[in-house]
Amino acid sequence: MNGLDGVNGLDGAGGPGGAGAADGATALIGSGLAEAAEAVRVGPAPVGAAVAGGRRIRRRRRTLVGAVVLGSAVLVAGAGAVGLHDGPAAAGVAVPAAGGPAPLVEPGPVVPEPAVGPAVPPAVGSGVEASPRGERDPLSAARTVVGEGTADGRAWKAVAALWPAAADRLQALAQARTIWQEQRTAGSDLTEPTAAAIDQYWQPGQDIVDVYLTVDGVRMPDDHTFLTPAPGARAGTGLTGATGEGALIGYRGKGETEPPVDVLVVAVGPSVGRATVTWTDGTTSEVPLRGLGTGSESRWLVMSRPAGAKASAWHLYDRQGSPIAGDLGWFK
Amino acid sequence: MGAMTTDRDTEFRIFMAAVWPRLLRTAYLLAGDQHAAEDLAQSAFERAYAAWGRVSRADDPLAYVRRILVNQHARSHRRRPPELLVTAVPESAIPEDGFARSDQRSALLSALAALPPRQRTAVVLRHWEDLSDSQAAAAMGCSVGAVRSQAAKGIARLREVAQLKELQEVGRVGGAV
Repeated sequence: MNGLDGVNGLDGAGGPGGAGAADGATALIGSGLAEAAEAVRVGPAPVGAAVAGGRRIRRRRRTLVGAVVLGSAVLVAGAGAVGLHDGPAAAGVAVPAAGGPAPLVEPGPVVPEPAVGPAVPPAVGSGVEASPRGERDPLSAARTVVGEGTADGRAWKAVAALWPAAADRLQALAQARTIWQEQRTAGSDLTEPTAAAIDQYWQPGQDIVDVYLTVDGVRMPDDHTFLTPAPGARAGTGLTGATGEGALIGYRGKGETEPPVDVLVVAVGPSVGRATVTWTDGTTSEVPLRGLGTGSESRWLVMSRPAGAKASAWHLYDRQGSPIAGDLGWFK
Repeated sequence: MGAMTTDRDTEFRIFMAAVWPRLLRTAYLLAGDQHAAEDLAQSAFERAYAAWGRVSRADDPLAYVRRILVNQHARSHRRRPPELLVTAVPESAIPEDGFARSDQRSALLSALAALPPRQRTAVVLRHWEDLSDSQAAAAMGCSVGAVRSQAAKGIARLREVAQLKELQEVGRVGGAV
């Protein structure tokens, strides 16, 4: 069962270490787990408590900023992001489904540091630009537009703000508060991060990548934070597979307006050289990959889902153009 | 707005009531005890409610919430060591004996609790939730290869437990008398 043959060569009930024995043993363990799980006392679903807790989360949106900024931790090693499928301004380009080697890894346009206020200046230019306060300043993010398009006649951009890893807990707290100020200005109802949150959630050596949307130049309160190894982080802390953590970020204005666009953000590993998505209408979109720059090796796939559209298949290719497996089936 | 909230709540309540037993059991195998499982599952549903707009739009809301649950569990594991369901693994068991079966189940759960978090999660998702490799990978936020590797290592370690070897001779694991 699932690649277990030969593992340890444990003799099973059916004989000495054969595949059938291994499968049988695995099946027995599976049935044992099922019986164990059945032993759980299942009472009524605590719906009221979950709703109350959920409302509390929404009201204070991630009470501990640390849990938000640092707790949605996912180790990702590479990044680059995106391309898209959303109107004429999108970066995605319809292409035949057949894939060839066409590694597209380039930094997206860098967005200047936003002034206090919800408006984020439009992204212009290309290349990587260090934060205004200096190379890899934990208190100043380097912003990269990782996707853009239009939906319902409104222009949206997905922006990845890379906050370099803090050097110590004190700096991590200052960084969390700086990020919180931005989120709060954008309309989030987060509470101010505390030293206790940092003690609990801070992970040294990890850059923070906060991905958010702007609609018509205004930053939306909905965002998602990822952790990615800082340049020089110890080996083994990065993403080893083709894809890592992903999130759907929906534009959400005041009053929880239904989002005109969902944006998929997924960390991709260093092996990925090309990505395409085929929609249920038969068209296929190329999803270019871009890096965030400022020393980060992270790479990201960012893609919008047009209203009413559904993805039917994803295709990932390595840098030589050979198909590789990815885990994007959860996004349709 | 009020009507929207009511619809949202109703939809969420129906969904939660339907999938609570299954996810609570998954949480139990991941967390190790009844109370921790209830806390973990409830916490996952709180987050699901907070993001119900996204969850309900997902093709598979259950998979979405399962992923929240797995992520929640992974975070809690980064902060504290895994708990054990029993204090020790019995030295031996007598086949076909009711108490022995109970011991075997305890041994299995103890061995499960002793696995590294990702191995444990992979084993539970693959062999209890019966997810495919790709589904488990989506829930864990890792590659299919990583799931296969982690599940294989986890199963191999479980099979190393002496008492679980005996299970194979008996032909079954645990079970009521």
